[in-house]
Amino acid sequence: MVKWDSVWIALKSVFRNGKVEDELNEEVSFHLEMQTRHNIEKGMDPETAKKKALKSFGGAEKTKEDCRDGWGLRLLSDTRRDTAYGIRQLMKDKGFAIVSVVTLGIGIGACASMFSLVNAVLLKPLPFEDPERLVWIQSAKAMGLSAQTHTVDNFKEFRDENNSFESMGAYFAFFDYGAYIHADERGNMIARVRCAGITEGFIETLGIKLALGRNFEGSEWAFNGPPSVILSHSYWKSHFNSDRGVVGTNISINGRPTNVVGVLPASFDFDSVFTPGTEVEMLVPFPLSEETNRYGNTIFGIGRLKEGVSVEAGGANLKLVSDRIKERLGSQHRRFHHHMNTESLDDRIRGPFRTAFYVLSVAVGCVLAIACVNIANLLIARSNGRRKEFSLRAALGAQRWRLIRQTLVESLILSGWGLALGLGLAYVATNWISGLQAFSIPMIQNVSIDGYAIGFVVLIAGVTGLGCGIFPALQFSRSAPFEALGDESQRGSSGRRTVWLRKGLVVTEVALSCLLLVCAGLLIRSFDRLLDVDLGFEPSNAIAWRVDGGREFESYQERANYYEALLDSIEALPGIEVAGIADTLPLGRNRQWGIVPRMNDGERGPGTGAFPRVVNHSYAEAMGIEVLAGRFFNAFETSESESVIVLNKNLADQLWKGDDPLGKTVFVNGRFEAKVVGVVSDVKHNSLDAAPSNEMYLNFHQIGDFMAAEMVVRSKLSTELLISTVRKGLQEYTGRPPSNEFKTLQSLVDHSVAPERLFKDVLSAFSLVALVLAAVGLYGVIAYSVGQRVREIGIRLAIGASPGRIRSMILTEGVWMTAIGITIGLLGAYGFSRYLSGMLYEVSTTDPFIFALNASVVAGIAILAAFLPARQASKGDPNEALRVE
Amino acid sequence: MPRDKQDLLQGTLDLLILRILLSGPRHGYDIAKHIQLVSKEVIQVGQGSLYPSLHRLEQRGYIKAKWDTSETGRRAKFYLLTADGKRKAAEEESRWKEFTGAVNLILQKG
Repeated sequence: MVKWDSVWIALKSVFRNGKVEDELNEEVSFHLEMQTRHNIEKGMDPETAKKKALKSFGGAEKTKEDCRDGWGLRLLSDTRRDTAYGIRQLMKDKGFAIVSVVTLGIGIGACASMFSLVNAVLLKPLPFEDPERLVWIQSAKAMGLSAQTHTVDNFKEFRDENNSFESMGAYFAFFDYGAYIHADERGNMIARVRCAGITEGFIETLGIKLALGRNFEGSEWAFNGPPSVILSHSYWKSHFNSDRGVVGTNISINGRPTNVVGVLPASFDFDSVFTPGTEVEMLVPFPLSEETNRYGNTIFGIGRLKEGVSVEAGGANLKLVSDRIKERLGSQHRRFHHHMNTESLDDRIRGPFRTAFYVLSVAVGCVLAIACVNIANLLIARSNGRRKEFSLRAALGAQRWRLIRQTLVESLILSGWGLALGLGLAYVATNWISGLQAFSIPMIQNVSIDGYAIGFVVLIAGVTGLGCGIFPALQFSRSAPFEALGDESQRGSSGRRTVWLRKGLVVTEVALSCLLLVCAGLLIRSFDRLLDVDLGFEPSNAIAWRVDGGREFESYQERANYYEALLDSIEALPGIEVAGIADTLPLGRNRQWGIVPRMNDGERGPGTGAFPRVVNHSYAEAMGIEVLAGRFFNAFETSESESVIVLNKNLADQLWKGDDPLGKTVFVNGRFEAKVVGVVSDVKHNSLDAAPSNEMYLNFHQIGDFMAAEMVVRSKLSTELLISTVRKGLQEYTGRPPSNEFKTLQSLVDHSVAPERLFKDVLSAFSLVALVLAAVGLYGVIAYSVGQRVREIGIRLAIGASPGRIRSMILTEGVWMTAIGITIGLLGAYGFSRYLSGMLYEVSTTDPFIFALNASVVAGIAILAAFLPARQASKGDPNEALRVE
Repeated sequence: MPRDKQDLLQGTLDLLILRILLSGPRHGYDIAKHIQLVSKEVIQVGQGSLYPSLHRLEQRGYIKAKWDTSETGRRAKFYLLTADGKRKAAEEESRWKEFTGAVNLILQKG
């Protein structure tokens, strides 16, 4: 039964503690007054009467305390007093307080940021309805998008012939090839946008509720239907000022009035889920029609499972449909049908990042643990210094529990301040992270300090506070007051157990920092290896500039001529060495076409797939791609002359297995024949850590499949000068201000390794912090033990020990702790580093060089930390030392 | 002045307070004096146990307090029984009688 009265009193006392206290005071003083009056009536003089009354009352304060106990308020008022006392004590030693709060703040801040990151990227459910029922449907698990995607007809068959899925939708994987320009009424470009094509069923399958407007409908889904777009929430905010009236109006896309039918909700950014790192400003309808089927493999499917059907069962079901298609198609059109691979959408999007983020979480946990250990050590040292105070309080009757609580309250105050600082740091850090557009990590823009993160860090701070305080607190539970008082009067050294405890803590720190440093070392080495990779092109001294004709061309020949003339005018500028053009740059988009060689006997040999690059003749020179055999294209090739092709080494070797490929004929994409005129070096087209893949180069005079133009300009000029030169050149040639869509080739490389760089940098930062904290911890313990042994050292010096001997005596202590710590750390790293294997490129998880190097770094720093107090001790003046106390 | 001439059994003070308050509201000093008087000075309640006991009973809802003017004209905290408290007083009294009866039986026939 709830006693509402008592709850009321308790509440009243919490909120109006003062009033309840006043009432208690008044009640007690009333009693005393009455007693005094009674005593006077019995004939005492007022003075004696009062004294007598007080005496008979028997300790007014004690009584009040017992009354408070009755309210269940004792704990509260005690805690309040402990807190005030704790703050006073901490303020007395500001240096200690600041060091502790900053250390904890960094630890807690790192934890909070990491938690927000992991929460946003890995833990929070995807921003869809029942996301666990969503399945990703792709073809082969291969490199090229063409191999991963399905044709429209096949997708329709999957959708219609299965019995496991409620609905299916798809999106066009090659949207990045298209050029979309959003212009104002007068035709001036506002922005180049990416429009991702989505099919019927896409929005419904994901279960997205549009923020405004509606999904595409009716004829909008037809091929060449009325142009219409759905805006992304962020583009609507940034370019339409969140104007609700824009829905239903027409905007100009590629010169055509296009109806804005809806706006996506803020919770769903197409790019942050499906194409992280590649912004998508608008969605357009992608028709499931005859015409789009002829594009070949172009779409990724997404299915919503029926209630109760597992991902595996759904996948097996689709596999059956897929096998039927394969049988029907036979060997013909094999290229339009590869495989069926399904996985949960969640795994598809987040799977690749799980290990990395969990490794970082462990690392941040280690940093916080080291920070805690340091604070615990400082607190122990401090509490040793305060033994006398505590012993005295114990001897005067303070309960042991009160003393333990006092210590815990102090460490909780520290962690509370650390929490405030940490939250501030985490707020800054998450703001910064969420602004990083460049990272191809899904959902990273949603990183923020939310309620969960705050709850989590408050919990962490509480655990941290208790964890730091528990060691020094436990000491009091052991030390009997007399022992401690006696101890103090003798020599002031701390007990044996304390020393072991502190040494154990330092060993832990050294071990953890060694572990982290080894892991960071492996990542750094792997990253270096990655950057050392032969890119196949020369990233320095060149920029790429996205250009366009600003109009529709009559034919691809006319377009090619336009760009050739543009390149000529750019090359004529001072300081420009060479300019080339391609439809797509390395380390970005990719697609795949079939290529089949004609063998010596005139028959078609076994074919394969390769990334096509449609380029002009100076592209190889502009990119710094090396021609290994034959030649690249030349300026005399036109649509009239013989069709030619250049292959990369990987493709040439695969097709002719060592035979000379020059002069041979290939069939490209099942559409035309071309003569091989040259072989060039392999270019990293996908990512730096990918194995060489097949690539072919086609001349843009000879093929119309050229959707976007990336101009590459090579020059010895400084980047700034180069940019301004090219900008001026473009302005002069086109007569309109050029876009700002330029980047250095180096930035392409940087962008492609951005996640790896992030992981490496974060882990390095963590391990450095860990190392510094461990060094400080070691220094603290040794300096403290030197301080405790001043007298002993003095005596040793006085009776003839050499300073060198003293030094080595102290140093030995540090060396032992370091050696044990490093051994444990290396063993830990040996066990843990296997989780890094997926993140390492050409580095073994047990690389002996990295292990040895980082162990020696830890050893060096640790011994330095031990050496400083050792030197100080040996320099001491024996007389001075003996006079201490 | 000797303090409690008789150590009160645990919980007995609560019974005495409840019983005394049956006759009407009283303040703390009054209760102490009353116990002393009626018990012919055999039982003297130390204030150190009286007030915590009062506060405990109030917390449990058997008595409640109100501020009123005392016989000397000064404001004092008066305690009075709640309905719960009246029931509790009867309950505790019969339990006490049962207990002392049993003890007496043993003393007589032991």
